[in-house]
Amino acid sequence: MCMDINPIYSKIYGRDINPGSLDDQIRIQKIVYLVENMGVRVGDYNYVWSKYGPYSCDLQREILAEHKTRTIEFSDEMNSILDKIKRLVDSEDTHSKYSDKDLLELIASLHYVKFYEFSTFISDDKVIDLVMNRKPHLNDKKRNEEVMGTIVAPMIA
Amino acid sequence: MDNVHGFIDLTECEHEIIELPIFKRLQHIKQLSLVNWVFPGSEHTRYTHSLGVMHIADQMAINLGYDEEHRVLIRLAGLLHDLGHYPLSHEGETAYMQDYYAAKDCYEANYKQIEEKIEKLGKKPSLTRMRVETSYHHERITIRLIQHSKAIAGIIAKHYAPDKYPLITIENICHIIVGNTEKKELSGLVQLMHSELDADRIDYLMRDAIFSGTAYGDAELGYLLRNLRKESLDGYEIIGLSPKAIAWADHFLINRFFSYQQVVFNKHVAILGMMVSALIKEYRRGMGLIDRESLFTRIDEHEDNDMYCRFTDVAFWTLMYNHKQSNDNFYGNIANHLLNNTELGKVVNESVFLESGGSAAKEKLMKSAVYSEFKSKPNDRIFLLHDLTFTKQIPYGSYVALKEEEKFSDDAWKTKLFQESIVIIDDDHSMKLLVDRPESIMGHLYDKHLVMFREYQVQ
Repeated sequence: MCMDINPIYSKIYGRDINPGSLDDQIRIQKIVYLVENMGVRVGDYNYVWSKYGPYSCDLQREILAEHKTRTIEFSDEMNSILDKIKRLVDSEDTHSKYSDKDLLELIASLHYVKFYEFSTFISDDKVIDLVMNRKPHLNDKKRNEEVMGTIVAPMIA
Repeated sequence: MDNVHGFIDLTECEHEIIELPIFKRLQHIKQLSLVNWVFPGSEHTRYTHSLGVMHIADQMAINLGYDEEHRVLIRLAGLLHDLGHYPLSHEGETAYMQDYYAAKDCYEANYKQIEEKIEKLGKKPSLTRMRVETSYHHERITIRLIQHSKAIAGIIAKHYAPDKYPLITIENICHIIVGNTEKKELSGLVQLMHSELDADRIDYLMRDAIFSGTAYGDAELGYLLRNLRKESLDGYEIIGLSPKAIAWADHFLINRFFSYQQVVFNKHVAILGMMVSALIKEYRRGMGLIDRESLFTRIDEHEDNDMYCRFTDVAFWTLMYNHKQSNDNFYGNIANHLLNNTELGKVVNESVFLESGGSAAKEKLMKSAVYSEFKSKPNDRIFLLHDLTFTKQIPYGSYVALKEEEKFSDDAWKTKLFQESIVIIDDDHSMKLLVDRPESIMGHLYDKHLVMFREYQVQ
């Protein structure tokens, strides 16, 4: 929902989204992707693989078309998912050199490759190798394995 | 013996699969949930539909010149493609999605859903159409079931030894079912199950028409089959039609449009669908139907615990009949209506119109009397909104212009566009989208939106 991009973003980051910022675009793209894959349908978004991982051009339109924000009260399920993502984002600097944006990109990319490209018929190790090949900046293998095992795998299991 | 296609021959492998409890489960899931309350013949199930899809997909494969191994593969994918459907089909599926908004009651929830639909109506066409479905979508449930079925794997391995039939794997069956277009060697078969003119759509349109008694599925299948063509684009197969079948394709899309308008979005069917969906959502929240949290466990353990095999229309109705109903809340009211074979409300106001373009349709809708009522948020009304189009295709030039305007980059965009759409393949092997052919009526109808906005007085 176009009008809800900012409420979703600000719930995680405590500030308004800057629609013109590439970093913020990547962040909200991955957040919405993760929310949808945790079971709440936010909008009619189709995703394809792009330079920064799973990407929806329908969502991108809405990010750029953001003109107004409404007051919205999310459901308990939605709040619980957003809280989970917020905790991940907040704690990332204690784990590795990845930024919060890198982490979101990593989780969404690992999930997309495992779940959509290979319909789960691929080992976690191969998924990590594939993502590292496509994204040289996500090269902390140990952290990638942790993220795969503790965050992505439970999303799919 | 099938009412739609006559005799459908089965291989030994297929016969063993349809005898499994997990497949027989589909005999207890109606294809069109409660449509039979309005069109009484619509008693057909996901079971017969699955056999029909297998049959049509195979006929298509034969006419496209695929070999035996490809035919076995597409038949199995067709047979198994709906294995994970929910009780009451799509009504049940909707009920297993989580809420996005908080809503103090059903009227507020309904208001927010409709508000969202109205906003969507004005959106530009999507540049990507092959939706990647999330874990609770029935196709994803289907492949999860297949992956956790030792019986299905065993039967297939017994009949098709991997060294002799390397293509016939559980993995490839699953890729076809979820529409994974990434694998070049499967790209043609995927389209037989996932495109605007796939075996699934053809069967349900023919079957729904025959069983509902309507005329919107009349199709000369043989003509389509004889006019199927296959081409290659960047190493991917593109399945299309010869120019002789343009009228067939137009007729098919028009039939589909009327089938949805007259049957699926019929005003009585629509409110009944809303009622059962709301009730299933209530029942899956700790009231007897498998809850969302344990659904995957039930699926994974379905060979050791028959709870998932009993997760059918029968489970829903049994629960409803045995549950003590109270009239003092919305769900109790719904249940009592269903027990008495009555609808929750009757239409007191409706706006139904055809308009060119989503934005114009949205504008017109917002000037309607139903919209004025809707904005006043009455707490004894339910609103239902349907937006129906003939096709998802837009002309190639419009697609490219939109793609450039939005700087959308996807290396495989053209392949995907052609895989998703109905493509006409000329004798010189050139390909065009159906909407771009001057003989096709879809060039004039592709942007038409039929909007049905209805207000029901809750009784």
